[in-house]
Amino acid sequence: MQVLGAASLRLSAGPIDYILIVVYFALVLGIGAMARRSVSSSLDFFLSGRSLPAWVTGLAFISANLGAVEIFGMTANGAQYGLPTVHYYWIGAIPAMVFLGLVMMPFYYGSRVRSVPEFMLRRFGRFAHLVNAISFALAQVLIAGVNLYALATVVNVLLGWPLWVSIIVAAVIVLAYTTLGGMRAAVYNEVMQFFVIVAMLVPLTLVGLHQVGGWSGLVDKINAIDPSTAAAQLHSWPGTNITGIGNATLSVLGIVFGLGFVLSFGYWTTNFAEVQRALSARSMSAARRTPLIGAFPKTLIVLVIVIPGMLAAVLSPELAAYKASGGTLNNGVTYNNAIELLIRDLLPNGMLGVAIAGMVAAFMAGMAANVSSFNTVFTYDIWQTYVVKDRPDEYYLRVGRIITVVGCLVAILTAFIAGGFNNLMNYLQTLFSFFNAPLFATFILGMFWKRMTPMAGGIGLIMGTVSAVTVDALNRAHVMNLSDQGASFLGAIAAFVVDIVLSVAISYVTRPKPDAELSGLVWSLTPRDALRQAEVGEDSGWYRRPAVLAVGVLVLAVALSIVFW
Amino acid sequence: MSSEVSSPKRGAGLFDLRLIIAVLFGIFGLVVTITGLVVKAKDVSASGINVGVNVNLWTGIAMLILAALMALWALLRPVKLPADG
Repeated sequence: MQVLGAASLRLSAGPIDYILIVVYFALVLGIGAMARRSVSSSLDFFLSGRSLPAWVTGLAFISANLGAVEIFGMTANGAQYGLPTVHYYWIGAIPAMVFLGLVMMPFYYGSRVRSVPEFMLRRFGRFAHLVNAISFALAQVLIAGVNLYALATVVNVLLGWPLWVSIIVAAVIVLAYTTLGGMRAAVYNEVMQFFVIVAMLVPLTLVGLHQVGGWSGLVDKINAIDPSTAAAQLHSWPGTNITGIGNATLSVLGIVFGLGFVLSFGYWTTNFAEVQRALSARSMSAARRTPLIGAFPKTLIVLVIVIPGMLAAVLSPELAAYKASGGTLNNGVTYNNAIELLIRDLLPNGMLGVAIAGMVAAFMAGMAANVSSFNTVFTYDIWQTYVVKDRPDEYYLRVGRIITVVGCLVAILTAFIAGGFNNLMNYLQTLFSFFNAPLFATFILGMFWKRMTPMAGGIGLIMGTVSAVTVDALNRAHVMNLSDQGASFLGAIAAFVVDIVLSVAISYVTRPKPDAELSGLVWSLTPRDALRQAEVGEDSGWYRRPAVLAVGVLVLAVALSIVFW
Repeated sequence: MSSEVSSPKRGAGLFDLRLIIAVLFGIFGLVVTITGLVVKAKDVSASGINVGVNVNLWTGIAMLILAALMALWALLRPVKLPADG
C-alpha cells in the first residue's frame, strides 16, 4: 500500500457517519438473530426452507454478484475504457440470466436437488460430482478470504483502521449472521445491501453529472482530454479497447461469444452461489422468476456504475493525471480508486456514512454468499454424500453450522496470507474462474443429450479447465498478445469447444446411464408437466409469467444498447 | 439421499424484510435530511469541495420516500402465513 495513496484517499468521516454505519450493522446482526427462529431443519438453514418470495430471491440473486469486487472493478473499467464496460451487463449477464430462468431453472428446481453439484451427481455420477463439488467448495472459501482482505484494505485506506481489526470485525459479523440465520439471513442482508448500494450510487452519479455539466458536459470533457481514444470510450461497439483485439470484427466476436456466451452463461447458470438464491424460492414459478426479476435492476444498475467511473476520470485531478499518463504515473491512485475518489470529493458528511456502510456491506455480502454456498456444498455434497451418510437431519444442520465457523476461520487465515502474497491471490482468483468456463458446456449438453455418459461429464470438465488454463498461460508467456480480458474471453471459448468435442467423442465409446435414471434431468426424458409451474394464487397473473418478464428485460437491454451504441 | 424434511413454516412470517428496509431507510433518511437542513455549509462535500447541491437533503428525502413505500407495501400486502396441513 502506497503511503501517499493512504493519505490522499482518507475520508473525513465524522460522528454522524459513524452513527449511520453503526445503525446499519446493528440491523445486519438483528436480521441474523431474527432469522434464527425460522431455522429448524438443514433445508431451512441452507435453502431458507424453499420459502422466499421471488422479489427477495431476485434482488439477492444480483446482490450476491454486486459485491465490492464488482463495484470497484466495473467503475475502474468505466474510468479506463468508458462505455464498452456495458457489455459486462447487457451482453455478459442479461441473456444468461434469461436463459437460466426460462430453460435451466425447471431442471434445477423441478429435480429438487439442493445444490448445483448435486445435479451433477444425479446426471453424471460420482466422478464429475467430485470434480465439481471440491473445486467449487475450495474456490468459495478462498475467495471469501480474498473478499475479506479486499475489505480490510479499503477500510484501511478510507478510515485508517489497521488491517487485522477490519478482517476480524468483518469476519465475526458475517459469521454471526450466517451461522445463526443461515441462508435467510444471508439473503435478507443481500437485499438490504442492494438498496444501500443504490442509495450510494445514484446520488454519486447525479451530483457528478451536475458537476461536469450533464451528459454532454462529460462527452465534451472526454473529447477534449484525449481525442484519439474518445470515440472508443464513448461508443460501446466494437469495444476494441476492452478486448485488446485490434480488429473490430474479431473484437465483436470475442465479446459476443467469449463474454456473452461462454463466460457469462458459465457463471450465471452454473455458479451455485447464484443458483442457490433461486433454489431458495418458494415455488417453481418464483424460482424461474428469480433471475428474470434480478435482470431488470442488473440492466439499469450499470448506468450508475459506468458513468461514475467515467466521471471520476475527468472530475478527480489525481485520476485524470493518472489516466493522461497512460497508467504509468505513480501518484498513489489507480483506476480501482475511481469510486473512492468520487465519494471523497462529492459526498457530504451524512451521505458519506451511508456510502461507507454500503461499500463495507458489499464486501460482507460477497463473503456471506461465498460462505453460505460453501457450507451447503460441503455439508450436502461432500460430508453427507461421501463421509458420514444416513444420519438424522439435525446432525447435518449441526455440521452446517460448524462448517460455517470453519469456513470463516479459513477465510480469515487466507486473508492474512493474502496480505503477504497479493499477486498470488489475484492469480488464484483467475484460476478459479477457469473451473466455471467448461461447466456450462457440460450442463447444457447433459440436459439436452441423453446419450452423454458419466465419463464424458468428468473428463470434459477437467480437459475444458485445462484448455482455459493453457490459453491463460500462453498469454502470460507472451506467446499470444491479448489484454487480460481478451485472454479470458478466448480461454472461455477454448474451454467450451474442447469440453463439447471431447464429451461427444467420449460419449460414443462409453456407456450412458439408463433412461430411467435420467427422468427430470434430461429434456427428452422428462414429463412436460414436471417442468411447468403452477399459475394459481401468488403465482398467478400475466406479469408473473416468466416469458413476459424475459421479453420485457430483453427489450429493455436492447433499447439501452441502441441508446449507448 | 433426498432426506427432504418438509420444513415447518412457523417462522416464515415472523419478520418482514420490507419493514426492516423501511426502518433502515427511515433512520437513514431522517438523519441525513436533518443534517442537510442544519449544517451551515449545505452544498459542501466532506472534503471541502462545493458541489452546488444539497446532497444530504435531496438524498434524505428520497430515502424517506423509499421507507414510506416499503412500509405501505408491507401494510397493504401483509405476509400470509401458509396454512399448516
